[in-house]
Amino acid sequence: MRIISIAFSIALLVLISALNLVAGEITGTVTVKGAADNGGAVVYIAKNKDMKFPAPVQEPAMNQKNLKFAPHVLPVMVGTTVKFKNNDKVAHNIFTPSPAGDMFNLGTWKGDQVKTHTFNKSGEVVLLCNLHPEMEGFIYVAPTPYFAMTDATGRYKIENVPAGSYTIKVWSEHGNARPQKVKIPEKGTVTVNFTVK
Amino acid sequence: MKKSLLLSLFLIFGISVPLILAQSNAVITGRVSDGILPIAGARVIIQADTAWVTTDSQGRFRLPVDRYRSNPVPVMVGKKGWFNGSWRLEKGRRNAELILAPVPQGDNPHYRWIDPAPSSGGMMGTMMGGGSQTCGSCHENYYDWWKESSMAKTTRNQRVLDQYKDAGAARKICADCHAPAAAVQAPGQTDLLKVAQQGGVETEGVFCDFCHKIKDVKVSFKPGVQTLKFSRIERPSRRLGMMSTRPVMAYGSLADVVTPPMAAGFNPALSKSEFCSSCHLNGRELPGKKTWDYKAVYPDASPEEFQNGRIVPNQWTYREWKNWQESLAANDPNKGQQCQDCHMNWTQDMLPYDKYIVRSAGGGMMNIMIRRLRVRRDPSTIHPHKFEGATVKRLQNTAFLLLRPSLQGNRLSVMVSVTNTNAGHRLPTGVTFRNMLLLVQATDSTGKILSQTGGPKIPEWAGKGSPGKGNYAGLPGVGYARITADDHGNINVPFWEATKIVQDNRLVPRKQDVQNFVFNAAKTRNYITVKATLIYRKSFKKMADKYGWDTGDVVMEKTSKVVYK
Repeated sequence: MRIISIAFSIALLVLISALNLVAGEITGTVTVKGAADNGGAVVYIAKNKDMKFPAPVQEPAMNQKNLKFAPHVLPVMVGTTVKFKNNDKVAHNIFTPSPAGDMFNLGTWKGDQVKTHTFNKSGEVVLLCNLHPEMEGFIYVAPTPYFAMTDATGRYKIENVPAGSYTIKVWSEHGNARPQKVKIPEKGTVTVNFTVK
Repeated sequence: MKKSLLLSLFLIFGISVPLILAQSNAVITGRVSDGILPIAGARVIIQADTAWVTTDSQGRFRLPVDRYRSNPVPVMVGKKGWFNGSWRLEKGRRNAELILAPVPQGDNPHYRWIDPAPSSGGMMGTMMGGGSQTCGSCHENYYDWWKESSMAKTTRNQRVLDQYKDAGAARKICADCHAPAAAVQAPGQTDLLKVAQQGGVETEGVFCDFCHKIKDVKVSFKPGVQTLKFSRIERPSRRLGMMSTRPVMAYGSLADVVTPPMAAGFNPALSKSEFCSSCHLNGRELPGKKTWDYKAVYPDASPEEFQNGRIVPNQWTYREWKNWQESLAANDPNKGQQCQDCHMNWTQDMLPYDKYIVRSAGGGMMNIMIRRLRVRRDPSTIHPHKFEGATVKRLQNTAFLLLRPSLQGNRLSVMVSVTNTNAGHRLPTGVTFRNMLLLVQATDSTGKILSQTGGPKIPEWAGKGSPGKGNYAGLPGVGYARITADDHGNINVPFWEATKIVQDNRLVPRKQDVQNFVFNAAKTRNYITVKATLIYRKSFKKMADKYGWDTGDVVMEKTSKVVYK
């Protein structure tokens, strides 16, 4: 029994280091024209036929407070279940007209109840509130686990990308950026910059 | 032995003590009456709570009380037709007899409306009865919100007055909604221009005292004051300590407010869409026995909606909302939503949430006093009177655009869908000259505009001529509007002259309109940028040009996509 577990651990270690050996990272800056800052853009690797990856396990939260969605943009991988919470002093009714969100409507609620939705289609999901039209937030459902969101300066970093050739795309609520093709080496960093306009 | 003793102790203190605590002081019971007869259906509520109980046919109630609440408990009772009552009752009190005073029957046509603006005497003046009693003196936030709203501007709106001058005999009904406090003296007979020029409280549009004196609204195509029943009453002076007060009767949506000098009367009608229908449901009754073919434009309409074609709709917002509500399943999250839920709700610029219905007291000692008196409320029980409707901010959050371009050889196909995401009525709504334009444009990498080879074009009423001057007719796109007509072949006629509606493609709530466009992409290289823009206009272009108005264009939504060759 003990031997098996040791062997298993060794195998796991070998696997992890092997993965590390053949994984690179993508970094760069996204400039978002016409926006207050460069934050909230989602950079992701488009899916190609050969890609396989496990289903996501994390269940990130989208909150509502002071008549705002928090965070304003939540990037998730396809298949992710998102928890919707209301930490506001008034009731909200979240819904989306976006096909990637299956046009869900979570109904009206206030208080501690947590509602969920599983996002099985990739793409933009705009979040709206039936009671407060000015509320707007986004969930971007990325097709692969390789995605990152820019900080206010526009910097992003996608780690542990297996070596290979990919198309990298950007989503932003403020416009479009031209997709770029990159080759990720077995080790090292590739810099890719984008302009959203 | 020891174990069983411990177990017994646990059973006694661990289980029975919480049970006793949970039961003690947990309920107040009693009866609500007029002194003799029971009052059924009255709302009994602990002040500022969000839940309440209702009295049964014998006027009896059983009110659960949170055991952590301090003693005695402020219990309030409200029922339409009665002044709200207030008592301080001990927890666990049984058989309390709560007696309500009736709101006097009748209506005083010589009643003088209360000025909404804060008075110089502030609350002190109001309390002493010497100064003028005004709403804004104490309800500072409510006044500030209302003052900026279109409700405060209905009488002096220049666009309304410009059309008023041209409206001929039909104009005698305008004041019924636009200056209702004056028109109530002579419904269908009041000169709006004269009211607008004379000043005084009647010029303040739809103001606090006017709405809070409304007892009932009859849902009808008739305008404003012709649908209303009032309780315009004043109560006689009474002494309160050293001060003489003149209580102000006001109907409201809360059963749990009792603050002298106000004498509040609970009236749930104020929280219902029917209340708004008074002005936001209005049509023209065709002369003689004429009718129009409403089925040609509204095939699903019930004969009752337009009275078999006798009524040509103008302000039809209430009915648009009602049709939508009736189409929803019982478990739809939007079922039961009223106008007030969206148009009298919090917006980000009002935060932090206010917790007080009474905010100001005009300064000094009175301010200190009122701060002690006022009650902290859950913000969801406060209804900010901002009445956001077709404001820029609201318009920018009401529609959703989805753009899907696809390039096959030299043919660029563009699917655009427009969804009315947040309005509980059609989009646009209101009077017949509101309209909305969807503009779709495709440009190549050099900025050259691609020619349209298929799909809809913007209609003539969006203005013929230079697009730089807001004339968009003929461009790729869609015009959303309700098109009126008369019997001489004219379209877009003012609603007071319309004998029919010939088209209505305005967006129904939560429904999307999908349109397909085709562009010629033969000479393009690199990439094509496709843009879709949705614009709201207060009036048709021709009308704006006639009166020298700007069209009030608001970009509601825009989106773009890039297609690479």
